[in-house]
Amino acid sequence: MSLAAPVMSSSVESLPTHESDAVRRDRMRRRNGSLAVFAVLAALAVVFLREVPSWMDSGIQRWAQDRYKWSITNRQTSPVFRWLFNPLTDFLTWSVEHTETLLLDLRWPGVVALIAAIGWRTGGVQAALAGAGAMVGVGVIADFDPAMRTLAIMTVSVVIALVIGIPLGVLSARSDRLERVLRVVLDTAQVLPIFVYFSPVQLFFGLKFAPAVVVTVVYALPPAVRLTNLGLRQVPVVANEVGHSFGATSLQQLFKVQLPLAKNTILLGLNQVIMMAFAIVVLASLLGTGDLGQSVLAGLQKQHVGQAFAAGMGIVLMAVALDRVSTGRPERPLSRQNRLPAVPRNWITPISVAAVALVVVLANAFDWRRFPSSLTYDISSPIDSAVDWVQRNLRKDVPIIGGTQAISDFLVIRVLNPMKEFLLWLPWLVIVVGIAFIGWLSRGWRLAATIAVCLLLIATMGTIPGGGGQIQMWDHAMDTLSQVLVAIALSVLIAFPLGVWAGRSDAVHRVLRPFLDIAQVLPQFVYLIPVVFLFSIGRAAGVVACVVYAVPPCIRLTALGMREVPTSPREAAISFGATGGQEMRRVQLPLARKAILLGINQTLLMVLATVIIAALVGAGALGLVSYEATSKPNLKFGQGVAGGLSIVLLAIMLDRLTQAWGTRPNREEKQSR
Amino acid sequence: MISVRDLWKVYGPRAQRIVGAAEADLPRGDLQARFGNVVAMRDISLDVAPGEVFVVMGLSGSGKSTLIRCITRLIEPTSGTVLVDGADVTAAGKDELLQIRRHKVSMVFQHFGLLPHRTLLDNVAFGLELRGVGKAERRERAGGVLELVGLPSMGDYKPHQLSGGQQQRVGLARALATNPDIMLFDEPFSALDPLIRREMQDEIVRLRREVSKTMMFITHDLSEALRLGDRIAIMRDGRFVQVGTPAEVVMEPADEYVANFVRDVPRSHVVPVDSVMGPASEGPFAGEVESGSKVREAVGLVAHSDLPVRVVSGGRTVGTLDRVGVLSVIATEES
Amino acid sequence: MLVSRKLNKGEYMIFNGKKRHLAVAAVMLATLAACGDDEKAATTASGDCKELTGDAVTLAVNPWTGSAVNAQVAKAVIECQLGTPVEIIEIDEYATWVGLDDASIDAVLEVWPSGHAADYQTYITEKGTVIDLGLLGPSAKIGWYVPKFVVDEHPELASWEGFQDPALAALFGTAESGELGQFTMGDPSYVTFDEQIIANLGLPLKYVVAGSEAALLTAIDQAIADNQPLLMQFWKPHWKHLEAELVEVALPAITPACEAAAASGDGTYACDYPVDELMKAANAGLEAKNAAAFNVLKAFQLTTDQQSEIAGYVDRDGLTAQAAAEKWVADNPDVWGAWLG
Repeated sequence: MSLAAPVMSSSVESLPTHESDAVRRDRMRRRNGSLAVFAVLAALAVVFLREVPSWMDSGIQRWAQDRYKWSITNRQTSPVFRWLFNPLTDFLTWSVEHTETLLLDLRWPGVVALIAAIGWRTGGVQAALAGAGAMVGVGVIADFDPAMRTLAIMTVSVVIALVIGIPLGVLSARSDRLERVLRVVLDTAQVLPIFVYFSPVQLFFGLKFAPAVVVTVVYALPPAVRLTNLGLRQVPVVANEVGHSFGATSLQQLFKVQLPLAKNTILLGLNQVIMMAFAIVVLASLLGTGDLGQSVLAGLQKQHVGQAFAAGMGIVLMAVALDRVSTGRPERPLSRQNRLPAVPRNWITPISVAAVALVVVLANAFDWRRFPSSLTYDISSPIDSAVDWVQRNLRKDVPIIGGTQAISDFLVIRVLNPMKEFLLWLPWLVIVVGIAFIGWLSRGWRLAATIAVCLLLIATMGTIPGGGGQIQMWDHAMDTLSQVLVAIALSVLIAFPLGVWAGRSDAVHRVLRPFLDIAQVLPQFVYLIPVVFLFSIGRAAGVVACVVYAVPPCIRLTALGMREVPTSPREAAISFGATGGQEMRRVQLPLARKAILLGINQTLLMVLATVIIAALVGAGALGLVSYEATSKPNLKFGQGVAGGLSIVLLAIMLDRLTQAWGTRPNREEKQSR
Repeated sequence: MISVRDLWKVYGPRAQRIVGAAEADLPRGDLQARFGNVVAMRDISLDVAPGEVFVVMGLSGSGKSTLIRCITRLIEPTSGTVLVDGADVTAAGKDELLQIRRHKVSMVFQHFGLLPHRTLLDNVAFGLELRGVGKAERRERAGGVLELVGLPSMGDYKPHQLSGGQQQRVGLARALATNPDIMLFDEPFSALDPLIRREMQDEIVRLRREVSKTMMFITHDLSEALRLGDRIAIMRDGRFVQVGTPAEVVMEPADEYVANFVRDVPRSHVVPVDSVMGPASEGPFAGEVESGSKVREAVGLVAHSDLPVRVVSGGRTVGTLDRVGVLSVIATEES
Repeated sequence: MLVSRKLNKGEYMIFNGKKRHLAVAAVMLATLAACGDDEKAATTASGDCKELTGDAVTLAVNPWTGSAVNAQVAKAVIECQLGTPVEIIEIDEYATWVGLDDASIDAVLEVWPSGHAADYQTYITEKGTVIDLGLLGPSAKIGWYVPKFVVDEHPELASWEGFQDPALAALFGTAESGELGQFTMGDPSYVTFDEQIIANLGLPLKYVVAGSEAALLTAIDQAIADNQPLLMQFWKPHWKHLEAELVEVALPAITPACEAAAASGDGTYACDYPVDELMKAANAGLEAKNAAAFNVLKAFQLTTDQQSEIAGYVDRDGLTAQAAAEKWVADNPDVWGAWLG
């Protein structure tokens, strides 16, 4: 398991320290004391309490179920609904409907021209062409009108996410305490399975656009807050001092110094908000939006993979278009500027406005309402036949590896079952103490406490019916944990070599990049169900879906980490006669270590996001429990909430732990804490 | 103009208890390990007279940057008082502090601190803008100051288009634009090439002649300190080791540490003629030097003549300097 | 100086650049103009239809073909004969009730009551915001199914008693179920007593949730392709019966004790599933909002054969639900004529 390496290196004392002997003795004493504490706790755990005791049940399930019931009964009469949710619902619905009407009135050429104009303004001619091309592509392979509805929902959601997110980011940049609180809240929002808040959102905001916007905002908000916060905190100390030294008030400081300097980071946040919004759009369409996302769902429900894939690619292309025009890089190197014709920036806006207006007027005059069918291309039939072929030929009787069915069985019987049985065999407190101990070794007491609290809270989530009796939520959590660990291990096993390769070879990087880009925005649903074609229903299919989703970012971040290693130490190694392999092992990999470990952290979040919806292909465990909050809210909402919170707790624990490896301070820093 | 009394800066938990206590004298590492505190600056008192250039010199980590930031409370001192032009900065409320920063004191930063999203003109006008000066007026004034620092008609450039030396001229212009009585310099030239640095030092000397300002100047470069300072404070481990004129510091170092610092400084470069001249007498003389100029300026004169040199102040002879006097200074340089 | 020279050069470049942009724009516009001809006039069902006016009536469509064709038939009739626009919202079963409650959905034409006893209780009996609109006509039934080849090889597996034999049950084993046979459940949102039935009848089976109907359908395809036995919860009507031969496994006949167990949820259910008489439901305010449409929806009924015929146009012939409904409406004026009163 990947836990071993960091733990070992953390106990090695290699760095020179300036502390006196007294201080060192003091520290050794504390460390031995800690070891003793963990050992005693573990021993107690083994002797008592093999199972989670029933008195630990916090009753959260009943509490949540009662709140749900209350909302159903009172949604027409309660002032909260009449004065808050209902007006908000009306406003959101109104916004989306009008945005959609506007987009449709622009006609499809107008929308394409608008995207091109924005791209031109932010990223020059290349961004304009890429954005417009991708947008035309949406019309070519998917339906343009439902796509406009998706775009309307995206636009409203992104605007709201920014209106809420940027001020929150500003506030959290100014208060460490708020930053800490927000971090937990945002982490929770992002990891909390959408299934858990689906039913309440329906109760509060009804159906269709309003709840879809709310769900999207909840999911897409975090990067707006995080990157605003980060951008403001990255403002150089000296720039802040300059403001203060000339007597800037707090607001002057914010608007004249900090926000302008943080602009690029905040724009990056905008880009990420858009990407997150696209990632959730298919799920949001479960609320009855009738947009492109719903075509994906409908296609999958009827086993029309080609149709689902075409709609999915439409979403991808729309995401690509918005990505290109929202990550403009106007400050290009001079050589580039000379080659491409440059228009002074203050001319761009008037020219674009005029051009878009012209296209819209023409489009309306000729009434180009629908995307011309002569330009559309049906990719669903070739996809369907390809899927069919794969299903018929790769599942069984493949030479040597035996086919995906065999892999699937191997995964379940040889890997997942032993892992799960081991976790369930261990007394639950041993797991709490054990993982807390790993946390202590990685980052000290604070992390150990966080981990212990997370795991203890999972133990308070109660039991749910199953297997002819009651099953502890803890057991479901261990089931999910075993799937997560296996999925991460497999992802790293696959992605790491590819990432290293791409990090060292430009050619490989160039070949992989387009695939990674598409994989990043392809809705998980598009391949979730097809995974079942090859790996039969169950945890194997779930793990494979997680791996498929997590591998691309893992490759990307590993390659990035490798590429960001400065050249001078590498050159130094080569000048001393290191072979390519030596240089890689002794210089590049160690220097890229932190970046790669942070990549693993990202991989983890991807796996967690997928392990939940993997319930739809039979992965069971916490994903299934939380899915029931949506599927049978009138009976099982409370269970779903408890299951969803358990996932959040697992996620926070694993996230903090892997982050600690990525940014682990050396012994000196740790001392000063 | 600037008056500092018993100023302390201690980082870490419950910093107040360390001020003036015996713990403050613990070795740095032990204090940090035992209490979690770091003393950045201890028990600093100083006075800068109007029009004076006061240089604080020390190596990195000596606390000099902390000191200069405490003058306008960019860093809050742990205890002590700072008076600027009679106003108590340390006791000032929020608004009073803003007024002091906007009108009385301005600062030039080590890495220039220009705001990359603004043009040069808007960078220079920054202080005026914060004060609420109208756009036309502040731009006009900023343009004038840019001219003063030798960057006329470059107002529409962005900082990244400039060389380091040019950028610091803008930094200087920005500090001058608010027409403050007091200017603070935080190692302004340390990031520049030696030649440019020299040019900028000349710029300061010139400015001092043209616009009379009180200046506090931080540097780690001894020759810069000797060149610019009316008085020099040597700082080490957060405290002043010695405060004096360049000559005093070079001729009478307070301790081994300062002595090591100034060992290689040619005495004739810092010792004024006044300190080694004899009483005024009748000529003939080999030539004359201004009172206050350094001994080395007399070297050439006495080397080519047996006659002494006349020291004049305001056209009046105030003393004479002969070859023996000059040599007595030069002789100590090799010891 | 150097920089200002560069700016001048840049300004010179503009003219080149602008010309090129104009050229690109011209080409684009020409292309667009060429594409515009492709446009067709909006299709209308027939010349005799009334013009659409007033507020739309919203019908829910749940994710199966029957639900879609009901709604489309109703839409075709109401829009053409009454001139009331009908909006279709695709939504899952449970959200449908939330929508009926707050009138964002006006009616749903196919509810399988066995899965919605609690919703019926909450919204119709207690709150009164939703009203029962009567029966749709067809009845449906959930049950245990196996592919036909299983029963051909082992006739005893046509009844639940056959599964008491561990050796026979083990034929249904998978990696997930280990020693036991696997019982596969599709979408967990559907009504299910299967776990209770397995436990209470003491069958050597393991209950595994596939997670979605799509996953279950894939499992059926694979089972038939591989000749691998599969036991699952399935139901009739379903379009899959058109292309896959599935046989229902007999379960103990339903008893009053089982009905009580279903109502109380005490976990003692051990019988077959009840027959579902499909029903319709509407928001309580629909009659006030649009009495004519309300009356049509209340009278709306299809027989099992009629529904299967329209669903067949979709699932067998590949028509859209809308086209199938319009075709059927054109062919059967006497049927829907009765709904108009």
